[in-house]
Amino acid sequence: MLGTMSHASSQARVRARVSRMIPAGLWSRLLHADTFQDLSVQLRNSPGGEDLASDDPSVLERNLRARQAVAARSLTTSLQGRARELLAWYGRRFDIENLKAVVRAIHFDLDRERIWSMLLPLPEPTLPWRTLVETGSVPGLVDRLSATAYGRPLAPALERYQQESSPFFLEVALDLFYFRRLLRLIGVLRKKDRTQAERFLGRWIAVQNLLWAFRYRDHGGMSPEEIVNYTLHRAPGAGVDMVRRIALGSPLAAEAARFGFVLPDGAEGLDALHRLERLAAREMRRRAEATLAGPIFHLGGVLAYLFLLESEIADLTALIEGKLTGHPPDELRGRLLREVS
Amino acid sequence: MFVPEAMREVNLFVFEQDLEPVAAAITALDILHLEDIQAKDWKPAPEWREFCEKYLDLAQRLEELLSALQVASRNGEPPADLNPRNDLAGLEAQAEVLQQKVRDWQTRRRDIRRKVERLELAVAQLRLLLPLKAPLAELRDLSHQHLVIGSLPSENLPRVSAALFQIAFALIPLSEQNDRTIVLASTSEEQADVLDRALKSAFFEPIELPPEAQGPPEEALPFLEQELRGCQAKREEFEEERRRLAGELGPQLLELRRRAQANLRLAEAIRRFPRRGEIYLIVGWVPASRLKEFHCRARDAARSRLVIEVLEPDTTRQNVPSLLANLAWLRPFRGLVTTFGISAYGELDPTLIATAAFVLMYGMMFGDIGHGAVLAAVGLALRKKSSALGAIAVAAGASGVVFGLLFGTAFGYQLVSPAWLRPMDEIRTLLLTAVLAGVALLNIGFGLNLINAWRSKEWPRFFLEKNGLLGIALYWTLLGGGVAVGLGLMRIGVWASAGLCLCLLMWFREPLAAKIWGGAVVPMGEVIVTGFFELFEAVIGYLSNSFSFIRLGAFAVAHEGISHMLLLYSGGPAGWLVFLAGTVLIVGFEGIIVGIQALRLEYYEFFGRFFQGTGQPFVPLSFKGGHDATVGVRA
Repeated sequence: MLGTMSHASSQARVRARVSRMIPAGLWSRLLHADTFQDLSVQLRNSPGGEDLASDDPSVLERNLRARQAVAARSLTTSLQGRARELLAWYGRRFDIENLKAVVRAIHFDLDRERIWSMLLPLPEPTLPWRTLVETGSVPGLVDRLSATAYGRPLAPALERYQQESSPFFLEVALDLFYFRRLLRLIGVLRKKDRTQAERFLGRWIAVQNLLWAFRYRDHGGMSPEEIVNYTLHRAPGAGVDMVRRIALGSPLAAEAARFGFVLPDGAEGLDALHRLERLAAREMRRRAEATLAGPIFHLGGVLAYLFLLESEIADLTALIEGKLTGHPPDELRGRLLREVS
Repeated sequence: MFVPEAMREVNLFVFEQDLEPVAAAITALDILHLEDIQAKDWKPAPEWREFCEKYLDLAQRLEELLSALQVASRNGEPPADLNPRNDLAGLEAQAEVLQQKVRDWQTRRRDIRRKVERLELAVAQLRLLLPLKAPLAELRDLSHQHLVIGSLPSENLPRVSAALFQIAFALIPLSEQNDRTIVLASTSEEQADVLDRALKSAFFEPIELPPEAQGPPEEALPFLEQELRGCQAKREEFEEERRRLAGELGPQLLELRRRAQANLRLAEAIRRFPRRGEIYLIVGWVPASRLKEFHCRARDAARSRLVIEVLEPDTTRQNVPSLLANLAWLRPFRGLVTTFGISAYGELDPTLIATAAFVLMYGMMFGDIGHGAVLAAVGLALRKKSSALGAIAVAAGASGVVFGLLFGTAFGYQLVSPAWLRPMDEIRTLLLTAVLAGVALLNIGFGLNLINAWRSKEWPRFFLEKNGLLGIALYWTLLGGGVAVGLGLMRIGVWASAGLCLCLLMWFREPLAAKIWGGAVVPMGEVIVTGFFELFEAVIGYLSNSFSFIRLGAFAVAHEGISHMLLLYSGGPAGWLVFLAGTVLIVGFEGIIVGIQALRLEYYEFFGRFFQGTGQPFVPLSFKGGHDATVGVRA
């Protein structure tokens, strides 16, 4: 009974939220906006655009990202049981994002107000962000987090951070902690919910794992054993075997092909990774649209909406940056995840 | 008791200087349901978000200290003189002083713990090495084998094995403590770098044998054991010091936490108040019966002028919260309704009637003196753990006993002559009674819908909808008229004509309602299609909803049948065991199924007629946390 009511409620909320997304006609106007200011005005007048009232591009981008955090938090309350637990944990990705920003900023001794302005404005304070920013030292920050869920993964990485003075070890500890728990929570879902969660979250995690492995190998210059230790071993379709292959030198195009992504000949380096990221994001967008076109009982509808929203935010961010750098619409069009005329 | 308490919207304009005393006074009352409003030029003050975070942090730190000192927690009344803005610095300074005192003890205790852990590990290693007569210095300097001992996070252990896929190695877990596993890892000297890299990237911390351990293991061991005993004795001293610190600092820490938590709640409330210049606006709902008290307390708390606007709720525009004033004995049964939804403001609260219907339906399906008594006893035992579940089980069990007396059975045995009937002997009477009970309940639902529609002045719903007057007329024409035709009391032509007329009215009720009361005009093509299907669904619904109650009788028959069968099997070898297991199965398994069926009838057949349950719960500002504020208690 409770489950049925929860699914009905989440379906209603998702439908209502989808109807408030940016309509097709507006995308074209945004693409052809003359300047960033013009785009900003149009965005402000878009459905639900009141919270985008800023002329500062970085504030605007952060507010856009915060939309996703708000949506995840709000939709969590419409679910029950394990699906609710999973979505609540998914929403922690924004905490992790902010925490990594705080670690990095404190490590590089940035001004406190500047750190504060870099953080995503999350809907409810889950951590005492202001206090964390004011900690002043990375060991102090880890000590302050010791009573939270993040204390356990950070404590062992702290020694390595102190030895090598690199925030990478704390960031990787946070990422692994977050994604491993996310995978565990997917694994204990009921069958229908699990299938949908694997379709969206599972695929997302797998692509992240693939990208990490290549970045560690090609740009971090890490040894195979380090690459294996700093990646996920049980990501669906991208487990330890894939990581070992990459660690031993498997080319990006070959690994991308196993995922069904075709990279152009000769694509390599950072550019190839960016292309792969875009292909994966487009695939996720298609999956989300296909799911939302049908009945959206079960967790799939909520996840589809969140990924569709993520693609909307990614496109808006690309447009904002494109307008600031003065790129023409034709050039910008190729950077978008959606087809815009 | 039958409708949520009358509410009034209050808009309280407070000068900044009075903000904290007024907020504290109204929070202490527990009667203001705060509304978050969005109005031009009125924005919450960002500094209160920071206060919230700082108080949250302070409260967490104090909680950690109390937990480290093992001070028993107790909740007290909120302090009278709260001032989140001015209190913060003082509270943080006091907390810092106490934290310093505790931190010193914590650091020394942590160091000694680590030393004990290392010594214990060293002693364990040396015991393994006892057969070796070589000095430890030589063991530390192996030339062909690379050997390390240390600890890593337990969850990283399989990751290290996976990372060492290119070399031969040995990885032996020795013991596990506090999420870390102590391991002995070894490989050939040539592969030492690979092993070290894999271990390091799994956050491995090496453990060295204490340098003071010299000579062969049999000489070093007694020395280390003595060191270990010394450190363990020190641990006892630390425990004694903890007790002393808890006695000395505990009361101060508890008082600080009480103030920090109360200030946190206040800051969380103020964070939601929008501000314009020097004036804060507090918008919310207060029960009309306590408006005067609210007014007086707010005014007394303010030093300067305070403006309070009181408005009647506009239910067409606003989502007014519902505060249900149930009788205390009825409170455990609220869950039967709130699982479905919360009464909207102005909507009838069906708790009493839903409870009565549930208990009666349950008893009818589970009628047995013995099984009912067992269920009631289980309910009594459950009351300490869950008062709601316990009370429902007691009431359902008691109802089962009453119906057991009507059926004359105890544990399936014909104990007394039935006061009414034996289900298996008079199945037809029982099923007919069940349907009649359903018809009665549905008509109560129709009646309640008329009252709800009348109260909310929804005239199309009152007159023309499927649960309104038109629907009732159609229901009785179909059902009552059908029976009358069957008994020869009415001509079929009259029955059919009346039914047809009502069906046509129902079919075209939407344009009719638009004509009478106004509203959007729906295109006729759409009316014809949607109206027909709605009519079809309504007619099918009347019949299926009525006959759905037949399950009350069917379950009563099934219950007696299963109980009787159990009695037969209990006559064989180990009969008492079969009887006991069967009774547990009946009370547990069948008890749950019957509960689900009763709920199903209540939610789909009964509530669907009149109850929308779209209300929002009344959650007042409060210094207390986590209480169910949707329900007021009238003793």
